[in-house]
Amino acid sequence: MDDDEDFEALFFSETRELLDALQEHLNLLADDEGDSETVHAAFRAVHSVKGGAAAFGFDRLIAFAHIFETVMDRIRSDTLMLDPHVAQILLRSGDMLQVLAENAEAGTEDKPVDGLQRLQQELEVLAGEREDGDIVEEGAPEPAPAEAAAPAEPEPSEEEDDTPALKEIVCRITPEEPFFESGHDILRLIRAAREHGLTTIHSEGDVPNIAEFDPRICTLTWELTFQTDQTLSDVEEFFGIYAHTAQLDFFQPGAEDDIDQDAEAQEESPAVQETPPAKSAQTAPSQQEKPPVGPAAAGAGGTNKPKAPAAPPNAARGADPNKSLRVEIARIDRLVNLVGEMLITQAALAQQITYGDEHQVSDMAHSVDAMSRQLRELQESVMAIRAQPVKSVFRRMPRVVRDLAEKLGKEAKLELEGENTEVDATVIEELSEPLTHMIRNSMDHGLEGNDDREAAGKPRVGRIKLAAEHKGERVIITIEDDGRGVNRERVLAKAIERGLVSPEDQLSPEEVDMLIFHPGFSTAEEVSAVSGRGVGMDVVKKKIMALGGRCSVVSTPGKGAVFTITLPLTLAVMDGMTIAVGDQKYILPLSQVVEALRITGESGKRLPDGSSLLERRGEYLRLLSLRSALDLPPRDSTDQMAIVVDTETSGHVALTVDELIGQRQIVLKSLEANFHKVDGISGATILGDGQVALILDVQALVRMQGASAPIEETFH
Amino acid sequence: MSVVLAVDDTRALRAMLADCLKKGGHDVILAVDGVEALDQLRKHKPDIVITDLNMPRMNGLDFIEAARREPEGKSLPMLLLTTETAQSLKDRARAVRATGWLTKPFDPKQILSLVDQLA
Amino acid sequence: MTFAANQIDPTAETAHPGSDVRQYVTFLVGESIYGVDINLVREIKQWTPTTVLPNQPSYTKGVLNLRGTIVPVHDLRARFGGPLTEPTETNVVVIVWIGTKTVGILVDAVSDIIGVPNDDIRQVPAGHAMGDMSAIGGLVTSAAGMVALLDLNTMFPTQDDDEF
Repeated sequence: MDDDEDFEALFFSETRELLDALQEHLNLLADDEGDSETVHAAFRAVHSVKGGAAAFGFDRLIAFAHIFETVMDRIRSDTLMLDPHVAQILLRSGDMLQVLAENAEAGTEDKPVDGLQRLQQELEVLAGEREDGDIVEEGAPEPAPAEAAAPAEPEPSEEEDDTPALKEIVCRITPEEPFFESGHDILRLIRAAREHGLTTIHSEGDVPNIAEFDPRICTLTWELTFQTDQTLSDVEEFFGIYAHTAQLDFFQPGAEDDIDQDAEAQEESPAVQETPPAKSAQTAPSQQEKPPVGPAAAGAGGTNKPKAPAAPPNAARGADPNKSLRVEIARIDRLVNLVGEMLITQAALAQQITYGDEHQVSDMAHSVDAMSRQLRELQESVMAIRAQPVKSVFRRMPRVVRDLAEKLGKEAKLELEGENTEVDATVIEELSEPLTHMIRNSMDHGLEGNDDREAAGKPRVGRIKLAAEHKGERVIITIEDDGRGVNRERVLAKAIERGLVSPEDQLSPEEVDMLIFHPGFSTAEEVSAVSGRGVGMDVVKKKIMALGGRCSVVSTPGKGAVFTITLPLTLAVMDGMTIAVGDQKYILPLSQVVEALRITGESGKRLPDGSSLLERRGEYLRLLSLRSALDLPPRDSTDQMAIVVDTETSGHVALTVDELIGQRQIVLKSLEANFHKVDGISGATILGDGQVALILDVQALVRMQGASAPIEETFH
Repeated sequence: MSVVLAVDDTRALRAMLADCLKKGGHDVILAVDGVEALDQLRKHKPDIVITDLNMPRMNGLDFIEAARREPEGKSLPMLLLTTETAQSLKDRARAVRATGWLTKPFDPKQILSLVDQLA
Repeated sequence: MTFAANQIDPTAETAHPGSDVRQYVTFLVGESIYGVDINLVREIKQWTPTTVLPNQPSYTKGVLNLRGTIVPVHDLRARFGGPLTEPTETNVVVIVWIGTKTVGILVDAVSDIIGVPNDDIRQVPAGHAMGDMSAIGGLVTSAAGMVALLDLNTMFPTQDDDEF
């Protein structure tokens, strides 16, 4: 990978962190909970983004960060009052900075961004650089960018001189009082200047009487004469660093006019001040074209070999924006696999014990115990490498809420809790979409309009709380709103209309609430711009189930709703139930197992079309033979077990198995690595005896068998 | 070859500076803010310092001011590298005896020639 | 199993100075001898029962655990249209690389390692009547008889979207 891209990736990952922190600070400020340190921190974050962006030449990002920074600076210095209006602009600016950074990262920096111009102008008003009311509507020609915004292309102050002929340039340097104390050394200066073609040195002025001698003050003016093929601006650049603490005068005896640019003049012209780095970058190639003559070549030392340009082209970048782990994932995966193998070895050992010699047994049991303990620790520490706080996902949500608040004309406040709860990186990546969806759902369907809320005696501003916490081996995420709750009448009407339930079904209120997770169900009566694409909570459920999680809702009419997502901490290890069909063993994801039942003569029923049903506490479940679903040779047997599973598409379904072996943690292995996807199988694992056991994809199996069987619903 | 102390709170810029300096054949010591930089200064006695201005805990100006009081920093070239352009800050830089003022984005070539020139 | 002594033609290299000599692992399926480039052979394992996969071609015997990775095993006899092998402990699984994937091939026994100069490889005659011969990359004559060199990529495509 190219070095610059490496740095860019670093810059973007750091920018994400900075912007996350910024968001946090701005939220505090907006809630009036910040102090001056919060303002400082926010300022620094914007400033750092700007500095980094400048290094890579992301002009839009620089320009916006610049005006944003100016406003933050005014707040910092108490020139600008931080009122709610300002706070709102700052929050939106934080969002905008994120959008611009994302665009820059995606290589689409120039992509038009909605509202950028307006927001920039609003900031300019706050910065005192624009009159209020002078805000140009979007689409109008963008005004000339603020002068300090993007580093302007420097005007070459001199025509490039192609002739290698040496010319004479003179510099008079008069050190000012801080010169020597600032770490300068005139001898070092002369030594370095020699490499730029210095030929003569002249000193003017008197060396003071020894009694009055102040080593800090240099009373001399040095006149340095260069015979060089470099341009005047090259020489000026060499002296640029002294301009800070010395008077500089340049002459070009051969030229028509003496150029008299003193330090003060330079300092006052921001354009000139900004240029040196950019200018040298610009002139570098032409310098290289010149034949390296004499001292000039030596002067550049090891530095005139081609360097990567400071601003790389805005090419598309392949880095995954969510991968901010500093560890190569492949390495981690190897570790995870290793741990998996060790778990297998341990299981094998445990099996040996069962059949082992009686004397050895206690010793072995002892060491196996110890090994189990160590393994668990090892596993935990390995997983910890991949664990990341949910913060990275949670922090995107305030923006979702603000965007929607604007679109829907509803005021809402999002509270975040437990952002530091850690979850496996793979889970985090998958979490953003369902969470965004649920927040949208709460904004769109949960919260009432502000006026309605007031009429109902609620606070005008709606409240949504997003929280995460650990519970055992799982993480619980809740999305709680204080809106109207699930509209049961409408949900039920819709479910009946869609044929999901029949009007005769006596559903409990909770069962009605759960209908919103049913596939194809969406309470959005029209495809609104917000919920978009007509997708509903069923999509969320599908996604969460794919992650081995579950979701549920508890609604209190008029008071609000609490959505709960339960997720495994990792996708590399999962809890599974081992079952046997014939001589083969399979794993069912425990998250989908509802219960295990013994099939008795009376509980199994057959429909006229030959499909089977299982009676369970007065209700009928579809009964699916795993044996036939898995293409195994048939066998007659009556004493089978049924495992009731929760499928995403067909509710609860009972699967017949020969034997239930037990519950265990399994390490996921890929079938695709050396083979290909097999329908009905989501992966594999290795059992204690070294045998491979397939992990069943219950949804797919039911779907595959579903073509001929009737759809039986479970909302009874 | 010189020993360069590079101070910046931004990881990406730190890494870029370090990379540029190492390619120029210099030894690089890094610090994330003024406090750490002072510590590194005492420990490693660098030949030249390049520091950011806005940093948490101790900013670049305060760092230079403090470093000038240290025996290791008394006559040490210390450059500020910043996006700031305000004259008041430049005046302050002069007052605390900063060796020079560079504006970001930095040009690797310029940085290297300055290290050769000053250190 | 028995190995014929030194089936590698000792004059092979000198007799064909301009051609590369490659080493092939040969194995037996019934009366037939097959060969695979030795560089593609990862290891040779005694047969152990596999875990069956649902809804796969009959020649796919299932998957086995190769030190923690899941590897599919194919029955070579069945792949060439023969009856399914009823493997016993004497059967052998040749673990080979196909591209980036690791695949097991169930055979009766491993026979030998032979050096084959490239020039000695003959094309399969067109219109050969016996089953699918596209998976045979070439024929070569060894001391033990004719060896069919397998083209693993054609025989067991490893692309996910390939159905076979």
